[in-house]
Amino acid sequence: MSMAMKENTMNSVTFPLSRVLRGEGRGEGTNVSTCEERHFAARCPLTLTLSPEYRGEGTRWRRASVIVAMLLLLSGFIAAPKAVAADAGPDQYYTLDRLPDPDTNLKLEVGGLNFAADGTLYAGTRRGEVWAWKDGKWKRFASGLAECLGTLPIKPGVVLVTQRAEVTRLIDTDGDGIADRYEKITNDFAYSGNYHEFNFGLVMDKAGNLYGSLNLGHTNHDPWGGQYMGADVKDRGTVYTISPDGKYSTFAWGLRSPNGLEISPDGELFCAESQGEFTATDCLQHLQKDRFYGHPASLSFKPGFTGNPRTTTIAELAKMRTPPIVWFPYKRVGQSVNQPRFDITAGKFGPFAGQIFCGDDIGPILTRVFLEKVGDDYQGACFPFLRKQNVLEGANRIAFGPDGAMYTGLTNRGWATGTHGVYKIAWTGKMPLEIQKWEIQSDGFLLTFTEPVNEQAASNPDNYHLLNFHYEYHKTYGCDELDKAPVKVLSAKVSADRKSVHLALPELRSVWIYQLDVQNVTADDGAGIRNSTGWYTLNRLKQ
Amino acid sequence: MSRVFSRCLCAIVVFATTSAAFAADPPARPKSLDPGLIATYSSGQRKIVRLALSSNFVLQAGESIHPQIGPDFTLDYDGVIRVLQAGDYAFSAADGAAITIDSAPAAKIHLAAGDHALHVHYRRKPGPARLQLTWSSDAFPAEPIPPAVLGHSAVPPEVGASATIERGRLLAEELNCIACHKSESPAMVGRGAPDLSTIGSRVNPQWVVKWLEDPRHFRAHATMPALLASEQDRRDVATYLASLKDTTTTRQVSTNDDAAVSGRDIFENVGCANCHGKDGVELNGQASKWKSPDALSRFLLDPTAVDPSCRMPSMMLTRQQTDSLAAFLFNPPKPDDKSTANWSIASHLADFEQASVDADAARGKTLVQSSGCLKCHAISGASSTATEAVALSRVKPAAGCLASQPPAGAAQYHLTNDERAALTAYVRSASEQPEVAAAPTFSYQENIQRFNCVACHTAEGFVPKQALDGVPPLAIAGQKLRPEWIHAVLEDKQRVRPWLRLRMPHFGPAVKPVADELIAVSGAGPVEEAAAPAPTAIRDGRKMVSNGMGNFGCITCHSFNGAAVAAPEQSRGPELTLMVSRVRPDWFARWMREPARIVPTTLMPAFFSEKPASESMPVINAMWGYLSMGKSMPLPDGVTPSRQQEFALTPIDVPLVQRCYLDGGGVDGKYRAIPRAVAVGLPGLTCYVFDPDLCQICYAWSGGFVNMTAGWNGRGDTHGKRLGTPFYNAPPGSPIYFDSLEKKPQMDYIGYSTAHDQVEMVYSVDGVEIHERDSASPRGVGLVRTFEFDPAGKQVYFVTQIDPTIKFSSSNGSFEPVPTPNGWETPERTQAVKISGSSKVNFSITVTPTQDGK
Repeated sequence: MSMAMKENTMNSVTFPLSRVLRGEGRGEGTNVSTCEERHFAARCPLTLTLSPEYRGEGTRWRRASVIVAMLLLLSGFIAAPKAVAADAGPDQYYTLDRLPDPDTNLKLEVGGLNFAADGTLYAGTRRGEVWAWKDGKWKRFASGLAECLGTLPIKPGVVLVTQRAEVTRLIDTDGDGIADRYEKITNDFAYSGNYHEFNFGLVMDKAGNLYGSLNLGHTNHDPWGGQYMGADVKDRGTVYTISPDGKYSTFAWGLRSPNGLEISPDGELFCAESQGEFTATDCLQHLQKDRFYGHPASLSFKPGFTGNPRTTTIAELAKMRTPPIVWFPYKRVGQSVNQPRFDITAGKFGPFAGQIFCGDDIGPILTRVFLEKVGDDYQGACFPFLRKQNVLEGANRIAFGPDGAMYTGLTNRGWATGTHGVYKIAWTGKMPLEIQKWEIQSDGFLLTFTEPVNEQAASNPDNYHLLNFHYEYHKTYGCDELDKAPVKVLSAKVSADRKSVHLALPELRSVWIYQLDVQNVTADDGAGIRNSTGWYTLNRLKQ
Repeated sequence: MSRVFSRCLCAIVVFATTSAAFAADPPARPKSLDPGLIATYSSGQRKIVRLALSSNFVLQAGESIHPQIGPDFTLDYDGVIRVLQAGDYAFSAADGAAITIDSAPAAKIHLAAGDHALHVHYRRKPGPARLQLTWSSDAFPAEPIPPAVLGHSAVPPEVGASATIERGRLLAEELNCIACHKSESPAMVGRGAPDLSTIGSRVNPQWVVKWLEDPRHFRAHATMPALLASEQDRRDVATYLASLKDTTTTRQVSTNDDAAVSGRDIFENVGCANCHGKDGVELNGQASKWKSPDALSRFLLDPTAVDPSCRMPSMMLTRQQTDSLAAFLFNPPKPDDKSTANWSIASHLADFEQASVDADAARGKTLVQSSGCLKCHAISGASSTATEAVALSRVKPAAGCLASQPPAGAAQYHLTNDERAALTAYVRSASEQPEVAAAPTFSYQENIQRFNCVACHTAEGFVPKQALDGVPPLAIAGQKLRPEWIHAVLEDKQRVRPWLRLRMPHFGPAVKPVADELIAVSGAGPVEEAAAPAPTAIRDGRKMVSNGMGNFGCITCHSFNGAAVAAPEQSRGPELTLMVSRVRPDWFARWMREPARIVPTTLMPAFFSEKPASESMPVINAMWGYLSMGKSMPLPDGVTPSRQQEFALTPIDVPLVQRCYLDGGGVDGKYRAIPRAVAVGLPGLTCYVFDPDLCQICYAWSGGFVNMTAGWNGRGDTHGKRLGTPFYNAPPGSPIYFDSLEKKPQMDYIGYSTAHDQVEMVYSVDGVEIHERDSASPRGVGLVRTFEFDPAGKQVYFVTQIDPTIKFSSSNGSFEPVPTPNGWETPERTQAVKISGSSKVNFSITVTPTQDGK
């Protein structure tokens, strides 16, 4: 009894701290940056984190550390509880190592990253080179491209790439490991030379069709009602496809800044968008043929659209639009989330086989996405996966290697610090406690953990801090988290295998986002949840 | 401290070199020479004797030395040459002119110090022609004879008459007599007047009424005549003109004292006062004239947009600066105590503010159309209904506009007696010897007065009132600068010292001919390029340019890629990375050896005084080799790299291909932007660009490849900038046709190969896969385009433009003129070669630039 009392006391201390950290203490619904706070946290030697090692040593130690922390706080020795780092960095579960840089004057600013069947990693760069990583060495495969933002090796000696104004086949005809033929696959799309007219790519489906995406231009004259982005020429803001015989056509419309496509093992297409006009925050899109994804600029050249994109109302646009399947709350995970990649390692990378990982153009974070299908539509949850300040900023591309490791290539020149290089992230084999799945139920949510959890804590509804909010679809840049309010968890029912918890809620609201912060739930070895916060995008209720 | 020191050092060196160059001066300098040679031009029965202030020329076929003299002329110069230092001299001139000194042939001659009689006899042969008087002696290497040592003593009576006729001619052009009195001369140029389509937004109608009565009452130099006799007519016209407005709303432009003082600073320093100072073009009454300070400010932003005559140039000011200038003109303070500019301005003129205006606009419009206003002015939607006047050759002296009291209906110019006499003399002369040829050196002499170049520049026979630091003399511009650079300065706003406050204005399209005239008057031959720099030359040259012991430390005074230098702005040298694209190699060598010989007041030190060529030339050549890399030059020691990373790409031993958005450039955007460019740079810096959209090579250049600095920094837009100098520009259109030129070929870009360190472009024309390899011409600048393909039995044509600046030759067959093929986007004159062979053809087309078609 006395123990329970103490636990409660501690909760009442820690919860507001974590709320403050996430900006929630500063007024609901405001989009408070947590970046500076986390920057501070990374440099602060004294953390209040109840790290798993210490937690394992019993309540006395925990209480003591909290008391010490409180004293320090009171004494003003450290500022605020910012040091409660929320997301995991490299640790005993995942390692992070930088590959040596190749010998190039141009820096490995990675725009495209993919493994060939033979295990060679091809990295395309923004300054137009393609480097091949094999047997611990880099070799320059191609150069002189106009910005390579996609590399797709399709067979030995053949790599398909996107350039600003062309999709190109690079062929090493003589087998010396250096491309000597640069063949056009298509250039049937418009390009005005605007700096923001990126050509992102490149994925291929089983039938051999290629897919890429074309960024809108950055225009200053507000052409389509957007603040910054618009289409001065046609084809911008679309996803295109190229048939095996080289025919170019538009696949999907209404995109804004779709940096990086992914195709699922089942052949479905996905991309991430970053916050902007008509885009409340970063999000994951499930791309389907001829659909419209929200930014009206490309409507001006969409066959069959007869209206004026500038004057079409939001209500009309909303009717046409296919909404994102997962929202990434701004700066809670990334700030400019990019290319989704499916974990195809079948468990070699840990307990997330089949799930999605994304990098970020600005922040030092990798994000994980759990998807489920409700009816015909995907929706799901996102979680921080790995954060490393001053290292991982601008993780622009992700590729899973035959060794089961994740490789990520960096660049954020022009938007942030100008990072570059490739990092390898490998699972150590030790099972982290994570929220593996977050599924919707007719009356609440079902959480599945990677390990059995401490039943006592897991069955306490107070340990599940749930909030919900929503976004508005509008033309101005970004959107605050609107009408944010706590959601009471009625009950938390732990499954027999102690890996799942069913949360019952008074009601579920569709087209809302749920934010969950799980407290005090530990694995049998005493380890806490490695990333205990997540966001579920509830587009459809489950009947 | 070091700044002061370096300045002193420069001054000492200059002093030393100046005295070295003229060491043998007699103690008492004789009085200075009267500039110019007495020229006698004759052609058939025609003869003209005049003072030629410049003796050299470059003429194209059909051009002449004087508009009234045919292209097949004989020329004799008489005058004196001043020798400062006795010695063995050698004289020469291009194109076989005969030079005699003291009546002896002057190919090789010993001359004592002093003045000697000079005679030059020259007979023009048909076709392009060139004359450049050159001398050398045992004390200095060959150089064009400096105009300062040429002069004349005796003046024949015809010279004065010629001067009057020439003055009359310039007046006839400036008063735009030829707008009404048509001239058949191929060489006369009229003067356009401001476009009046939106004059109602610019000027006050009260001012217009008074101005129409007598423009010379407002401004003594006005060239517009009074055409409307009655006050009612003038009020009606002013009412009509007041209705011609644009839709711009008027901004509030402050004219307070602070703004006026900033305006004064601009007026006195950027160059306004050089034309508008004492005895210049008056600026009284601007506040009476302009509708608002905003209207004046808008005009000043680009006066040439309103006034195509371009007499008032754009000073390339910002809107803020033109606002200040407007404030200054509306509210002029006293001249600055420290200023040397001499001006006085009254902002208001009371009698220009009194007219009542509200009159009959419709009648005003009819008057504007019928009175001849639209012979000079344009108004959109209105055209002239005025009757034609007699041709210029039939104009009677002392009648019509030329009468001392012009009759009613004639234009009233309020001419002075001198002006009337000069105009009459010209009209008479031109009817006796009508003008028959374009004469660029003659036009040059008119143009430097017309555009008032001589307000700032010294030129043949002209010295500006005020000595201005850093303004180059015009007489040597064509000997010093490459033709492309002269064009770029006059037409493309290129400036080599953008930091100077006194600025070279932008004159707009009317000044275009002056670029070619500067070259014509220089007598300079084609630019002979040095061979591509050897790696050792680049290394040695870099060392000399660097700071450090034993080096020249050029970067102490010259800017390098915009990097800050220690020298104060007034004495800062021109940008080093532009040096080679700007100056001629022969001039560079002369300049380096003895700068003060060319510009006695220069701050450029002489590093090779009295050194023999065998010692100086290897160093000068090494520096030139290094400078030849332009923006690709490795940084010299002493220059800190800019924070922005530089990416000037340079092919060293293998070709480089760079896909980029290749920015357009050149005069009038001649070299178009290519969004999907495949730019190829070959070792030795012969480069070309292939456009996948047009499926052809668009242009080729040499001396530098591509700079990706803009495209690869910051957010990056993959834009590349061409370095070096273009020598070939292909109009849009397929070079390859099959069977007939009448069917537009279907072209498709396939790609390129880089195998074996050779770039091969692959594309298809009507289904035939073309392989094109391009290489540098083995002899100097040029491109060899080698094609290989199988036409499958079809007749192959290779088509190209006919262009006097480019020579095309084929390894297979020869070029014949053909009608422009179907599919060429511009109306070019074209030529084609029929390639023999119907399977597996392999042929080369060599593209070589020529100097003006020679």
